[in-house]
Amino acid sequence: MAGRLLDTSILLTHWHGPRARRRTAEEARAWAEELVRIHRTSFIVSPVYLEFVCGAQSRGELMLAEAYLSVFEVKDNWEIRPEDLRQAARIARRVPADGSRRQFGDCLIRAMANRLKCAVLSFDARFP
Amino acid sequence: MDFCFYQQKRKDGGIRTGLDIALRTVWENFHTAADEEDADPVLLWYVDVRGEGDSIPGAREELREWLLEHADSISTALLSLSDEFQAGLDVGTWPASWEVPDRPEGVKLEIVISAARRIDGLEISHVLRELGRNWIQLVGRIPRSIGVS
Repeated sequence: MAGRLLDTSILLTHWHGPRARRRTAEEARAWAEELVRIHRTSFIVSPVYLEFVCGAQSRGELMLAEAYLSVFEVKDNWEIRPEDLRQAARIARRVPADGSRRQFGDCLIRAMANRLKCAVLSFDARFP
Repeated sequence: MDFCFYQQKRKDGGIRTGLDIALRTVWENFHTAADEEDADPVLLWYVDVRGEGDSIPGAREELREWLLEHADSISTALLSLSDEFQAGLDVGTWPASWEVPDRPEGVKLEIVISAARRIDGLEISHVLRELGRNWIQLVGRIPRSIGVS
């Protein structure tokens, strides 16, 4: 599967895309399968799952979000290790030249991707 | 059966080349100069040669031979696409795909290019040219015995 890991920005951009069909759980799952087909990977990590779920604003949205996410494989098996947190802290301490702030989730995703030997697909230019 | 021969570059300069069959990695090769401290796994781009069809072999060794058998078509398509990028084609937000014109009947064979962060079309042109020129050598690196190198 080319060891590609999808980050939250990829999922959110796809979820809110102009062609998105996600009125029912079945449509949401089919829409997620489309993303898997596009990038030929279904890998995410648990912080991506959590960040995505955190965006739901109603019970209905949550149900659709969970149906969408059910298609992806949580590569870390829901296991965030102490070494991931230490590595994320190390990444967070790197202040970029432009002074931009790092996001906790992004630092953790990068740390976990390194441990899992995956590459990260991201639209986020501030991804640390 | 379906397959994907891929090459992708990370922000830290690491380049991974590999082959998956039905989403299962059957061969990979990874080169990086970055040490663990500087590892940055964000992808700058990837180029996939993807195929799908009943006549495509499902075993690595047979697929390796199939890819060599159709090397002319694939490398010609890669070089032709390289020229288009040199002329100013750009990669958008989502991956773009092109069908390989001279492909076996009943087979879907396409080149897919993604650059999640905008990069120079000239860099993609260079990547496609190198892939096209070295296709036989790259496929030749796929070992015949089972295992991930």
